[in-house]
Amino acid sequence: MAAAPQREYPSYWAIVWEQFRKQRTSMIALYTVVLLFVIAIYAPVLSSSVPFIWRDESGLSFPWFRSLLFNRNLFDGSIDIFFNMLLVLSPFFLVSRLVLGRRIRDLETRKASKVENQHLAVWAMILIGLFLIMNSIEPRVAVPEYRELAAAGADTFSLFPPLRIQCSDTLHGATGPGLSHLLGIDDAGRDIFVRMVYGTRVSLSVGVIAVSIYITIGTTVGAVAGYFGGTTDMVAQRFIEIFLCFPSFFLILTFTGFLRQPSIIWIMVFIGIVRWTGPARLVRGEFLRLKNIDFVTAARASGLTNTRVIFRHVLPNAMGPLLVNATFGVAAAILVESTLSFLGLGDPTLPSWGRILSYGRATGDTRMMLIAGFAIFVTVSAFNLSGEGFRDALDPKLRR
Amino acid sequence: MSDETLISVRNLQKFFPVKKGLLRRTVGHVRAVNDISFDIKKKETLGLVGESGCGKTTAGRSLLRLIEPTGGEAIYRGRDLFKLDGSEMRKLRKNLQIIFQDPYSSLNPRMTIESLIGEAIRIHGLADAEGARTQVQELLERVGLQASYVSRYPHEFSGGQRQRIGIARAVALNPEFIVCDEAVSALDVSIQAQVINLLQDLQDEFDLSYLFIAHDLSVVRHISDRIAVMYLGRIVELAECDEMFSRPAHPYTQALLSAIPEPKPRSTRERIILQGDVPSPINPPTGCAFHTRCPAAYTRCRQEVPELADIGAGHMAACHLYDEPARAEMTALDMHNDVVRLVRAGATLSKRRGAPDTEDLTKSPLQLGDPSEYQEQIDTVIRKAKSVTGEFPAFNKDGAKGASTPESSD
Repeated sequence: MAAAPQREYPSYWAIVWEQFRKQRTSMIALYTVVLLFVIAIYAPVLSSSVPFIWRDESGLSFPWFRSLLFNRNLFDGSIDIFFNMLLVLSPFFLVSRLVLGRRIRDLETRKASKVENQHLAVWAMILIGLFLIMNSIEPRVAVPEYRELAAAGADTFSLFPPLRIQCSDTLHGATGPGLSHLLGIDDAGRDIFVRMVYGTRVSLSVGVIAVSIYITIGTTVGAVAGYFGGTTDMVAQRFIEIFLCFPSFFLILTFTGFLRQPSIIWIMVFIGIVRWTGPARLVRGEFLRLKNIDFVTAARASGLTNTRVIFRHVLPNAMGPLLVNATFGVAAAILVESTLSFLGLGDPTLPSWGRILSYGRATGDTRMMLIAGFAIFVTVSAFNLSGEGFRDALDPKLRR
Repeated sequence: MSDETLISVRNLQKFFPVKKGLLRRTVGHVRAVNDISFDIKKKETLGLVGESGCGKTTAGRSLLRLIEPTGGEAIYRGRDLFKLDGSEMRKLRKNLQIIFQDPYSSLNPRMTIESLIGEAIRIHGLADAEGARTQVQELLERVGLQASYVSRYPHEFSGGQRQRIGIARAVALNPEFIVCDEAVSALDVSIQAQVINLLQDLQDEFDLSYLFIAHDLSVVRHISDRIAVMYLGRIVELAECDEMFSRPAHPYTQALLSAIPEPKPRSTRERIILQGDVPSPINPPTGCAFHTRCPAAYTRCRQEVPELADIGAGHMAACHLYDEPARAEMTALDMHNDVVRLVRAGATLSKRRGAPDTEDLTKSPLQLGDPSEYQEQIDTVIRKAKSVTGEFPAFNKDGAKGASTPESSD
């Protein structure tokens, strides 16, 4: 058979994306979200007290790269290691994608998407593996004070990031905004701009991880309740209702109150175990709607197991509303974390936006309050507007 | 069609609980399928007809255990389908398939045609991924679509094309038996014909047996070898296709068949218009479920559920009108009342035909006492009734076989 001109047959998600792209506000919001992720991942490129290249009498070294992997010099925490791993892997990922993209063009759509999925899965595994290894290693190599060494002229050649500041650095004396300190230095001697940049890491990771936790719990409970129905559904529903009785924010507040030293991981977990009821009810509803639709019956009539029916036939059709819920959820989780930090219940070691806001209020620094408040506002709005865009793109009645 | 039985369904029941109140207590049951029995022979098409809500679809789906039946048994290959456990049933499912009414909801919108049809092939270990792909392409060509459609998504197809995909999915596993659940009802007439022809071709090619559920009698007449008529969860009549259409025995079937539109514009054939509505299946009438609307119902119909019994030459009907020995035991009074009903029904018919007014027949005084005194009177009424109502089964007290009189030719 002669090779017919291969037309592109759009999948469901391709159509949804096409719809999404037609909405200007949502696209701007999505670009903002992407920009925030870029800032979060590439924060050390922008500001670090460790030079990319350093040469002195003892020879040439690349301390910045080593610091990404082995020194928790930025601030202590798994989140930071995770983002550093993303930073380290991102160029390799992009290269392999480019190579793959060329190969994919020769394949048909079906195989291409399969290859693409495998590709993503491999990278995700590498990322998680590397993260776990790095998280368990504790080699704390003392970092020389490169900044002061450079100031003293100890180097023959050095290349620093644009801002030679660490977010944990204590500089001397509060100053206003200037060229070397874009937003100034606060009372405690910390560069506000650098703290804001690293704060993006905190906010985004809280949003994404907390939501992943509760979407996982919610989907499992909702799917089981909706698909199997009967007594299972009854029990699950009563359980959800009991959870709904407690105002979620105060529950999180109480939980964090019990911790001697609130860590960011615990805050994510608390948000995760308190907020799962929403997606659980959503998924249950979707399952109730879908389980009696003919194609699910057809799948059962073909002799597929329940697991396969749930994961291959029902769940993919329930993903749309779930994605919208998750996007709104990220915004809400960021807000919760900021609020906790503002109330002084956040992780004190992290440069969270809520903490900066609270510190600005305590020291009467309006500028700090405005900056932190604005960052929270922009991030939350960007997620909410993207969520709305997805919701409209998924709605077949609004197709244009 | 052979005489070998493929599936034998006995006393199939499906009751849906009706729940009410805060505690969701079961207050009753919807008797969607109430004790039906039938056999499906190899390579046969059994048509299942009836009006909306009579339990056709429920019967088909509970037979395949897509809805868990409440009771009964279905013997297939010497085993009761309803007693198999999950994994045994899953293995057998590749022999028992279903085609759905709505081509839009029966295909998963997130899957390509290849994975839609090929998934089950791979799951049952009939082929590997590459083999499944080739098989899907062959199947698509077999049902009249292009092999290159494999990587498309369902939303790119029309209703008729989607139904062909649904058919390809059903035959993909090389089944023996397919439930066609209103498989052509959602399609327009020209497409219907194509799809029916496709189904018939596939039947010859793969030796399939169909349970063809439909409400369109002309479609059923075209495709079926035998037809079962359902009313309110029960089978009221079961006969060979031609027999059913030429000599409908049950009053409900007669009414149903008279509702088929005729292509002849000036046809004067009588329509039997049933009075009232279908009773609620939650609380079905006592005795024969049809007695509330039956023009020929008599006392016994309200008291006793008629069994589906052979009324001659394999023609099965569940109607007391054909139960002669019982009729002989009736009291004269019962008989008189029945005759009156029969005549009334006949009178309505004959009036429309322009026959002389027979209304006075029913006004004959009813006397109580020794039956022999008014036996003659009854005989007169019966005679008159017979002359008027050709369409109703001959009604006589002698116990002679009350085979239905052929449709009066007009």
